[in-house]
Amino acid sequence: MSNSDSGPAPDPVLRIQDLKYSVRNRALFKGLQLTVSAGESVAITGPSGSGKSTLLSSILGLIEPHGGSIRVSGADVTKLRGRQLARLRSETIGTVFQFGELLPELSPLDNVALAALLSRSDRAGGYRQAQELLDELRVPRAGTTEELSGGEHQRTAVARALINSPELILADEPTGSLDPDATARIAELLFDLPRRRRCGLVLVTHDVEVAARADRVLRLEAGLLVPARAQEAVQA
Amino acid sequence: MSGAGHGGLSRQLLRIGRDAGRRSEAAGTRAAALALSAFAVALCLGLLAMVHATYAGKELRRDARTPVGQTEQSRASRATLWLVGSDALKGQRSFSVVFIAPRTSNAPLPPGVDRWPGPGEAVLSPGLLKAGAAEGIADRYGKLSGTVGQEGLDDPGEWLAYVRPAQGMKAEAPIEAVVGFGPKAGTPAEGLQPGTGGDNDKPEWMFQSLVIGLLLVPSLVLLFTALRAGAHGRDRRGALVEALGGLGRDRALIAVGEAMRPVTLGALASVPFFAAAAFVDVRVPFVGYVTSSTDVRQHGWPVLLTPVAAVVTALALAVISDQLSSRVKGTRPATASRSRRQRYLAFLCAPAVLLASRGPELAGDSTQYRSWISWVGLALVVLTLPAAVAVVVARLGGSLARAGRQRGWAGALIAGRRLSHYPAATARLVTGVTVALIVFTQALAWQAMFGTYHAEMEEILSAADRNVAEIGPRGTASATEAAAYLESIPEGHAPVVLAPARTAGEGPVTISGGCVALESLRLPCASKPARVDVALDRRLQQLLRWNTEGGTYLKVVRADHAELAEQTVQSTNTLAVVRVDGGLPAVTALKEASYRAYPRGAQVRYPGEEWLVDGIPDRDQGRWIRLFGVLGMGILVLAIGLRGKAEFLRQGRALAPLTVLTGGYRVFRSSAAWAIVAPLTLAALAGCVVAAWTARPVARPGMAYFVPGSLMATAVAVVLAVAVVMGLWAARIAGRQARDWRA
Repeated sequence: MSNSDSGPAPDPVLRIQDLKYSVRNRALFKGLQLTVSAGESVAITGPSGSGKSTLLSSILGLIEPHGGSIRVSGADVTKLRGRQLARLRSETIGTVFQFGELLPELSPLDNVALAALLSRSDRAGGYRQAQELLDELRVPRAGTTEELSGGEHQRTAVARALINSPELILADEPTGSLDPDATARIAELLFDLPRRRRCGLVLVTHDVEVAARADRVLRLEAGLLVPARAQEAVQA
Repeated sequence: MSGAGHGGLSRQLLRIGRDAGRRSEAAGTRAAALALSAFAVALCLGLLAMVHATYAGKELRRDARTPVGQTEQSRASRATLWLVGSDALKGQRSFSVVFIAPRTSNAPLPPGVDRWPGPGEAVLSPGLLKAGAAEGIADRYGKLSGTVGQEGLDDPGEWLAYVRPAQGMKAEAPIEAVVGFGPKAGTPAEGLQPGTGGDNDKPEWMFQSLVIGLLLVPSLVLLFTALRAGAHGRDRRGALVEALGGLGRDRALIAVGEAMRPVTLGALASVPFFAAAAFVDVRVPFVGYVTSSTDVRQHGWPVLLTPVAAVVTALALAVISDQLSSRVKGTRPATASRSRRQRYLAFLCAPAVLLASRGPELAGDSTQYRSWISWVGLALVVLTLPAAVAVVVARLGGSLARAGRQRGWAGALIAGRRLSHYPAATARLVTGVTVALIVFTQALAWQAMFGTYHAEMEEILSAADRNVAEIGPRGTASATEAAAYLESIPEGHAPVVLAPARTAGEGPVTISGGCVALESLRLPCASKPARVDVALDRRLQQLLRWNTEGGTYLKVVRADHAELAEQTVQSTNTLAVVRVDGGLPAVTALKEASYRAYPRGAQVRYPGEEWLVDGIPDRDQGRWIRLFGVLGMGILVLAIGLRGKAEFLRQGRALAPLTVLTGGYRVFRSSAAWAIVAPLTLAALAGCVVAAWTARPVARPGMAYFVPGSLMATAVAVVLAVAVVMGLWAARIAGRQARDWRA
């Protein structure tokens, strides 16, 4: 396994091998390795510009790496195109973006149900499940997402990520725009998911306290993922 | 989860799109702009269909009224005597006056004429009756016995007269015997066709090109502009849908759902116009052309389906504009990027301008190919211009931001950064202005091309040259008929006859007339012929200029009416009438008198008028260009305004937080000035150059410069005024949003 990975996992939902990617002659990934098992959470930290978000984009297939492979539930993302890639994104991966990235013109319910609709799931069932998830996450009913607070916004984004029961959840700075209380609640919610739903979680964050809740904390440094230093662990 | 039916998902995505359309930023502005643009596109498409219907209908009716000449085989059958002449109303285009007479008892009548007029009677088209009412046209050719029905006219407004001479007609050249009309009666003789439309009408492709270039393209620009209003949020949505696993089809459905309602409403609003045109003949304002409801009805389905075509076009463009938006490259909100594609497009702009301005020269003298190359070049200019402007604006924005930073100009710094980060918004604004200027100059150039000849002739034939009338009897006229005419000349008028030199340039030009006429022309009136070397009277100078090839001197001969009548019989001589007091001759009365005296009347014109009349159809058709050009400009100005409002809302929202840093609104005004007024000023100046350059090919070789500098200066001034208004508007919106934000 990799220098960053503690050992082979029995049932990996994500396996990245020898990932290479450069931007404007700057190598972001130099043979990066990562394996995440079902029920496991991994936090990735690192300085700004180190490529944390680019890594998540690569896993989503939004960026085409220059080398290596990314397997999500056995499917190599780098080889998928069009409809197959879209299907993998909608059915297997759930994503929580930094600012939620909800559509402001839609209601929270529509935002969550949209993800279900895009996975071609049952329409009525999708809306019912979306409402159940929003109720479970205590998101109030509203006409548009602009009526929600920051925390409610992010909880809606989490509900959207969960609606298709994904095997892998990606979270890009999910608490970056929240106050400490909301941060704590969202972090608790997210890190509880792998245990409750048997999915893998890859969370990118600058917040060491949030990162410390993960099963493993890795640091993206010089194009590779390395275990976070002891000092960071202590801080965490 | 169970799989959803595609129908259910599609409906849901359409609904989501519709909801998004209602609640998104600048939703109201976008919906209004979409409805308006769909309306404009539907009108343009309907107009294209109507133009085709009109041309097809005209062709059918022209064929149906084309006479079939008598042949050896058909000699025994029924026949009508037929001769096509022409006449003109004062300052207007000439029209056909067809002299007809039955040769047999069952002689065929031309379409639109339901019974034979009696000898000395005439049947006139309703359009001619109306237009010539002031000149007493109803009585000019004899007694009015009816009007020509629409089935016998090119279009409901056509000017046409069928006249049965009182003295009858003889079956000898140039009079033809015709046995019927239209292809059903035999082989039509094109040379005998009545009407001037066949010669004067521009080809259908040229008219369609005008509609496309001056109306449809601006309407599509308006549509595209409307679709891109609030594009930032829409692009983010597209990126998000893609990141969530949505397919292109899903994005398309959301885009369609968002645009469907306003687009449908807008397109449907055009239906009453075409429904009206299908039942009523409509007079087109400014041009005066009357559309045929019969033609519209005959092409009813294509015309009435144009709103559907407009909806399909608008939705297709909505999908295309959505799919063309920048693809998501990450999990963060996308920032504006200057793509390689944009740079390539920008570099293509210069060759496109070259193609539009110089390309037509490659086609040689072929007007059709010249026009097509010009239009293709123009289309490429319009397509590549936004990218070119965006690249330039981004560069200038960076420089402006640096200058603002160095000098401490907050407005310049903010505007510079926004310009360099969101160049597309400014590019669209600037492109809109440039395209409007291109449409404006194209309209000017085309109208100039159509009207140049007439304008030049107007200049040559000044008002003073119209104080003498020439009378040219049609066909051979006898001395008796001429004498009758001279007797009927209105009071205060006097005739003279001009006889050219026997050999061009040698010997005298003879002018004969009574003392009143000669003295009025400042000539001697003696019992013996007198020699005059210099013509002093301006009217005489004109007569000599247009009717003789130069004689060595003028021989003045006193003559009475009988002698003058004898002289007019010779076709080389010219009968002219002047008013004794030097004023304008009563042309209408002279014309009317000619139809009483001569079997087929006479041409009554002032010297050189035939040259002027030749240019009138082009002058009249130039009015279409001005009408379309003004409408096209209007559409584009609307597009610019709506685009501007959407952009100002976005800019205002972005700048609103600045209100915590400043108590006043000066920064909003200065940033609006730099972000809007400065680029539009640049657009006005550069746009005029591009527009004038791309209009060059329309000019005929050797034609004088067609776009007056003063007019271009006015256009620049108007754009500058618009820029200032828009800058103030943007500052006001930003200020209001800042107040709201603080509240």
